[in-house]
Amino acid sequence: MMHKLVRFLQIAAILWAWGSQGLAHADVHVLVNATNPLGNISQKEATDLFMGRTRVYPDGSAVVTLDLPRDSAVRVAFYESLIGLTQAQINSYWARLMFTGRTMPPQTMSSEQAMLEYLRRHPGAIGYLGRDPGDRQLRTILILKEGR
Amino acid sequence: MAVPIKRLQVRIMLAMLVGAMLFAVMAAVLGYRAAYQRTFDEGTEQVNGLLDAVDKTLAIGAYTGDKVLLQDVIDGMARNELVARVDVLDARGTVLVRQYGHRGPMEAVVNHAGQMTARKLAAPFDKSESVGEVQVYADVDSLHQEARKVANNLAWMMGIQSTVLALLLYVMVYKAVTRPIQRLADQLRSLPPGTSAQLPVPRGHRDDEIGTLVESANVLLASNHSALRNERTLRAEIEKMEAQYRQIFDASSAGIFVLDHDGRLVNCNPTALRILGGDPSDVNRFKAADIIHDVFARPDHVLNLIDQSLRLGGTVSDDLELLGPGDASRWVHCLISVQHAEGWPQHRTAQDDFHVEGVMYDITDRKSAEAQARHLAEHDALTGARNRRATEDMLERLLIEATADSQPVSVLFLDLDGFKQINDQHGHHAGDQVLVQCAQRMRLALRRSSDVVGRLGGDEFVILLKGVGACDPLLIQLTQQLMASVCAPIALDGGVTVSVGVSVGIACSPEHGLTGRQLLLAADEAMYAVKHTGKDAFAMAIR
Repeated sequence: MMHKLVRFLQIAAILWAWGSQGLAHADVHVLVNATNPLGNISQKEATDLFMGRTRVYPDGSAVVTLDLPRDSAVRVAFYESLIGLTQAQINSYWARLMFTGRTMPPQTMSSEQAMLEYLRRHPGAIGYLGRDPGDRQLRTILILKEGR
Repeated sequence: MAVPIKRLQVRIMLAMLVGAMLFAVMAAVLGYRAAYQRTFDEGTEQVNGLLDAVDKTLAIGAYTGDKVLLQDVIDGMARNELVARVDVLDARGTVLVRQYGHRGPMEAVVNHAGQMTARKLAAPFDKSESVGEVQVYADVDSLHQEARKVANNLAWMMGIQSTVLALLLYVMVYKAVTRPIQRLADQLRSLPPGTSAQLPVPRGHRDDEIGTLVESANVLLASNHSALRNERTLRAEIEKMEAQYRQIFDASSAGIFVLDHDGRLVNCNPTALRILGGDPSDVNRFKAADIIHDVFARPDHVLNLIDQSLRLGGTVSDDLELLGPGDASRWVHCLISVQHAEGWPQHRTAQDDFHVEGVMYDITDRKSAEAQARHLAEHDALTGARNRRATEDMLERLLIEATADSQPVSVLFLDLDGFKQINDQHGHHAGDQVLVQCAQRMRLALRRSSDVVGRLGGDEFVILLKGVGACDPLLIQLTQQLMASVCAPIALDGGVTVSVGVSVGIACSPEHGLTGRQLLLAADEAMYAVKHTGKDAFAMAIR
């Protein structure tokens, strides 16, 4: 496990050293609370959840989507992998929906740590990280491969 | 002046107006359609433009099921005047939101709405997935109204334009065509026939059709003028000729007449009237008279001539005797030709289609002169008895006639006895008196017109008796009467009375000969026999 992490970090460091691409090529893990009723989901289902289409889970509980900070490379990589849009395009998308106030964008967490903690505390929350957090309280339901 | 509607310019204007109306109506119909289509197309284009602008938002709204967002967007679209209704449906076809146009959900709008455009809404992040559809319906009523407005405007514009053009044309046609033509007509009407006047070409029309018309009218006027003049000259000549012919007809010494097919007088000249026994004022008495039977002595002869002319197809002529007013017979030489009513057919096709033309000369004087000359030629100037040649001719003719009738002819040869002594004693004048007296007594003794007294010369006479034969007792009786008559004393001019004897020789046909010569010779021989045996007796020729 450690070896894997070291290897990942090594690769990440090399890529980072290359510049802008950075972690964009890393897999993104979509995470929910372990008690969340969702099983593994498809990329489409993930899109519907994160882009505001699916607002409730099959059991009727509300879906709370979470975003990493705006400057997070993982956030960029996540949306890039999920729907192939840039942040500006996604902002435009939400701007139209926010106008009505009925459909809201994901809540932006201040850090990866904050996202992890939020996920642990809220069963209805759904978020993502650039790695497997290795947390028993959380469950990975989709891994977005780099480059898609 | 003509009824206004028949005037050229009015007709042209009316045609123009009617054409303009039709054109306007046609333009309105076409314009209506075009305007409808154009308005519809424009509306569709606008709506499409609008859709281009908002379809992404609509897709997002449909994707997220955000009806407020959708409603907000289609509100804007429905504000377009031509849009009746905008629907947004989800992927299953359920209406998510609906917005009516500015006229609201009126029945007319709802029922007559025509779909303008529809557009599928694709999922924002997966173009292959449809998240719904936006449908835009047009307000057909408004479209029609709009189209009607455009068509009306078009029709009015066309109508007004055409009316103005028609009026303009009316004025132009009046000024350029009808007024000059009317003037020309008035001028032509006021001209006397056969005038030598010419019409002026109206100003400004020298090179156009009006000018041509006036020039043509002038040509016509000129040719009319010259034709009339020629005709007048010709008529004068004809009148002159007619007068000459009339003069010839009237003054002709020949009588000219025309009869119809019944022989009734149709026309004749004064000379003919005179010959027919009337004077010029008697024309009416002779008109329609049956000339052939009333005037001619032998109508059958005239009819025969007419028939001959009909048959031979030419002029025939003959001397014809007229029935004179008194006993005096009149003669004319008449030329007759039959003229057919049509052409000159060789055969008489119809009985009634011809008339008879005749020319006649009065030849009465010539006829009597001829008769006189013949008398002189045939008779002895002294005694009035026939001369030798006439006697011989007469004998031959009598013989021919008698032979045909199986009749006898007797010839008496007379020679006066003692005539020479009277001649010597009392002179030739006395001798002549004796001869005249004897001839007269012979004629008196013979009562029949067929009996002929001839003098052969000197004191020799011959008497021809037709129908009296050798065995006829009348022959002896007549001979004795003749001898007694001749031998009676004759009183001469000087108071002296003389007497002569006569020796007679008789020869009869057919007993003593069949020719005149034989009979005369036989009678002469018989007479000589009497002379030698004692004179003053008669003897029959020896067989």
